[in-house]
Amino acid sequence: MHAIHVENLTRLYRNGRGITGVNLQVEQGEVFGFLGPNGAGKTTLIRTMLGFMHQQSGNIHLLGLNALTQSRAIRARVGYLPSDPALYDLLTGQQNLDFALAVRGIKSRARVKELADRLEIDLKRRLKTLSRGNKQKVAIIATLAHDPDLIILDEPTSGLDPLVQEIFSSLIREEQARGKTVFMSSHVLSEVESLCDRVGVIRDGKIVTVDHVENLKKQRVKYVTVEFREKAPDLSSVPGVKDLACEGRKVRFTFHGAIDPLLGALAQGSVVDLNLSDPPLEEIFRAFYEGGGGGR
Amino acid sequence: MTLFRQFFVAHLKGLFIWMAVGALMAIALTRSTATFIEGGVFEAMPASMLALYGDFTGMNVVDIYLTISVGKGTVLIPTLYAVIVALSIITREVDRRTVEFLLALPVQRAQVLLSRLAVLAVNVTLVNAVIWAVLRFDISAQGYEGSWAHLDVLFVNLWLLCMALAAVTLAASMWIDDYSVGVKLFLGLVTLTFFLEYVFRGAQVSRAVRLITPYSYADLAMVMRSGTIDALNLIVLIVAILGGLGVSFWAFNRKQFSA
Repeated sequence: MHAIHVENLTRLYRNGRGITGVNLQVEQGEVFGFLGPNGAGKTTLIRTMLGFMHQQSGNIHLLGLNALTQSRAIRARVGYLPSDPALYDLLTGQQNLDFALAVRGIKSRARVKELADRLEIDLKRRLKTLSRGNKQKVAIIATLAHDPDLIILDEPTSGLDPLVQEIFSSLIREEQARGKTVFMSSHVLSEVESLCDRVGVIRDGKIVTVDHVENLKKQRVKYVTVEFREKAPDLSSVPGVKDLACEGRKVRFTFHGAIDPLLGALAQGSVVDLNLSDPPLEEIFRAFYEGGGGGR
Repeated sequence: MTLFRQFFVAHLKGLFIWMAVGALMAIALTRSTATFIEGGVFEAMPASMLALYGDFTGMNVVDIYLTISVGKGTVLIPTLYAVIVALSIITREVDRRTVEFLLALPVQRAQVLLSRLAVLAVNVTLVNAVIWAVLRFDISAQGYEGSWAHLDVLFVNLWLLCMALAAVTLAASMWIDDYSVGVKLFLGLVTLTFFLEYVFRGAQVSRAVRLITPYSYADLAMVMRSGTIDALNLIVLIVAILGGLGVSFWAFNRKQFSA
């Protein structure tokens, strides 16, 4: 059973935007990253999964339950953190959490206390007196306090300072270690890269690719800088070499493909220095948006 | 019960304020009872002016004063309050985006609406009850005897009017996501129709035309005279309540909460 099983899902707005024919499976115990720029359809998919919006066609199953007919049972087992969470401003953090836990029928506040200590937040203060980052912390506690099986996070670290982001990341890793499934949309690619097992990329309401982070990294190009003792040989005809730029004895280019022909070509000259570097995941992400596919 | 308590507590401060305003207004009126009743104000009042408040044929002066006391403005307090609470049920949650927090919890939308309607009904009852109690007991304490049983029926009529206005407002609010726009629009409409009712009465407009104002469905003088609610008024108010609630549940269940 998949933790998330989305089948041919379509939800379009009146302006024609939304999501079209989305298929997605997330395994139990997996941390899944969902990437896409604003307006790509990330939040629409999340809101449809949670029943805030109804699909026009397709099926959604979360934790084996039908999102349309068993939405309440799903929400009992799901923790959701919106991108810009809004809780009741006139209540204290504790009162907000007490309300949420009371609705869920949970009496123990041990987990709340543990999370509040970890995130260093004073729950006795009214929400309206808290900064955006501190409100976000209360929302994180509300997301995790009932020990959900599936955690859905929409841009979770926006508004958090780097130190709290680190605590949040460790909380997510701990949840994964406890067998929980995490689905997170994000713009912070380094966060996705470090936390997620697999990544889905959405563009214009359609899933462009879903793959393991490691495979995506393999697809990507290398940045290559070579310095020769004398004049650089002609590398333009080597398969996989692109964006070639020569600066005297120094050559820069991007490379994708089998490495042997490149090494053979480099051996025609006398190499003084060779540097191969991995571009960040941003490059892959950008490639999907600019080129309409993976890699280059 | 948790949902009910949360919404009730959220409205507690407002409830006390509206109850206090209602009580103060009623006290101000009851303190003038002797002046109006002993001073022969109604007898001296031109018939056309008295007709603004209804048909008082055959009624005693205490009942006339009670009717005018309610109709002169206290009626506006519970009706305005009912509309404000109705708007806060969903529209305020959407406007402040707390609806996401609420609907992410394992609750059915109907549960949310039902619990909040229960709070609305309780609070509207309390605001009406305070005004009723002041009028009933303060005037009685001053030694005047009115048709108290008829006054009870009059407040049942007012309660139904409040709930009808709230139900219609709630139904319409399903298509309004801006709380301040909703408050301005509905408070404006309710206040406008309140004064329109007087204008229509003053201009001796036919009953058929007056039916466009919600306040025409609480014919206070008639209720105080007969001790019963006019059948047409009763039917219209009940239909408005049931219809408004039906549309509210239907629309809320279908409502899409996009970003």
